[in-house]
Amino acid sequence: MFNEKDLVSKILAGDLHAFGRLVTGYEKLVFNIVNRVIDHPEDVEDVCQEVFIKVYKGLRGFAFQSKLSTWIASIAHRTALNELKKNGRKVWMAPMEEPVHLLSGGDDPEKTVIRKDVSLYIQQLIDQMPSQYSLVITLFHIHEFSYQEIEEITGMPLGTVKGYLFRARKLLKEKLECFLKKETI
Amino acid sequence: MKDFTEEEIERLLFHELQKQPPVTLSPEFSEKVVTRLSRKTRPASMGMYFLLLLLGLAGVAAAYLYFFGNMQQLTESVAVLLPYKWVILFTLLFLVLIQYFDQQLIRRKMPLG
Repeated sequence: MFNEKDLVSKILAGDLHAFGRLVTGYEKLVFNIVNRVIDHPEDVEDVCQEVFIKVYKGLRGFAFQSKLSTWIASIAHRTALNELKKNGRKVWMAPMEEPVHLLSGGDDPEKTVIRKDVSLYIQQLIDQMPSQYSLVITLFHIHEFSYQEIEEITGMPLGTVKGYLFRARKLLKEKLECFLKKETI
Repeated sequence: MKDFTEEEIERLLFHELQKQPPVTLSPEFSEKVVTRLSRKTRPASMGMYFLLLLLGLAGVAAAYLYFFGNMQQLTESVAVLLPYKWVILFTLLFLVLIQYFDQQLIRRKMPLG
């Protein structure tokens, strides 16, 4: 991607374009974290901007004791939690409705429909999970953070991180099994 | 259609879990952040402070003329203030310098310096 130390030095030397590159490099990570914690989609972009302003202000104090991504992720998590405290908690969703079928017909229609549906179904399931489950899943699977890094980002004890990840995957697997059985009947 | 085995389900699940969610930030997000930051950190120049000071003085003079009468009264008032000209000038200069150095201090504390 880019050399983090070089990039940080350039930013500290006054290069705003370098900071733009840093934002581009980490915007998905920040968005995914904020989006998992905050329930108002209209606020997510503002909170993400706030995160990067904090990153920018705190960059001089960052001493590379952890990965830059871990540090940015922990700022994103803290900022999102503070925003949540200000504007109310995320609602725990009721069990999900059946997913919408995206496709029908085609050369291998049944298999394509199932694949497409599985994708949508899993995304819906993750969106409707309690935020700590979906956050841990996102950090571990999409951004490939280790258990220790997730502990550092979220402040959850290591055992809790492992527990959430295990339970979230188990729940998803069970739901997916039921879903596929229903689809193949 | 064939049934999915447990291994296939697991593989499918892990494959799907690694996918980015479909929703994301606006394409010009990084530009927005940089614009916001540059607005926040742009230092006001010394020249701008003096310009503001001159505009302020001109405004006060205009308001004085508008509300309290003619040019003669204004020159009389200025004559009253004339012995204190250095005190007034130094006070104004002092205020402008405080503003300027305050901006410099804030800039130094920001990463872009």
